[in-house]
Amino acid sequence: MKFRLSPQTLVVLDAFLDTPQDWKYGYDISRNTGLKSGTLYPILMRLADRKLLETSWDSGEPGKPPRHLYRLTPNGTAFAREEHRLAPSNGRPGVAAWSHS
Amino acid sequence: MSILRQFAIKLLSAVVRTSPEESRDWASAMLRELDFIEGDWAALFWALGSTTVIFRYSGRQLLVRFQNQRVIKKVFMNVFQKRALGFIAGSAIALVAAIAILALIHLSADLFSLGNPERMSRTAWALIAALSEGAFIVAAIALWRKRRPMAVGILLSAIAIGAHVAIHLSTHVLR
Repeated sequence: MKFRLSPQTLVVLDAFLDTPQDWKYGYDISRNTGLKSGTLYPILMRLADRKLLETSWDSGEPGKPPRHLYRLTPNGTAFAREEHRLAPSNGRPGVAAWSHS
Repeated sequence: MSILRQFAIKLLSAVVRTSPEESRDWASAMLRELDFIEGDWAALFWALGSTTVIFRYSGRQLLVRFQNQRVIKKVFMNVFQKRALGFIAGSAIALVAAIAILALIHLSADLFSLGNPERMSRTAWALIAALSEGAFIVAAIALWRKRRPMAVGILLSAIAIGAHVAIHLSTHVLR
């Protein structure tokens, strides 16, 4: 299956690609990418629906509620790398093949 | 805590409480991030954006669920319609066959000058009834696996027609 990515999705994927093994918080991604919650979370939801992103709750500091964490799955990392490679230098998104695992 | 931040927290808390199960985790995730956002206006805009996201996501989920229900309904209706049509066809076949058998009896009586068929003996009528009902049962058994509603239609109609003929003969003819 192929799907076209928005420039914002590419930005999010790039943010994850910097340190693909690390879990990231939503607000940190928002700050690093400059995307508002209304733009960022639909992208995260779509990536998670397509099993390209895994989510988790951290235990957090004692007495504080847990926070949601995000990390690319191995499929997601491969997909993001492929997208990164295909994306033309003019900033327009490329189209990469993606398949369910 | 400022009014803006309080409003942001209350808004997202309400969203978490009212959002459907599929999006509740996401709504909670957005709410938890509020604690780490510097600036009250930023927190408010974060909450407003998050609320929009959850409403859109929930709306989409509802739409998908509604469409699935419509598809299920449509499939169910198709199955139901097919069964009803099969049953009606089976009943019609049995009725036409019964009329054809009676017409044949009358025609044979006229052709071979056997007199009024209603004056036939009980044994002759019993034989005709047994043969006809037997034919219906054989047809129903043959159709049972592949066209069960039609087989049921034939069987029930055969029973009804047989009962009708038996009552008619016993009350009007074979007294």
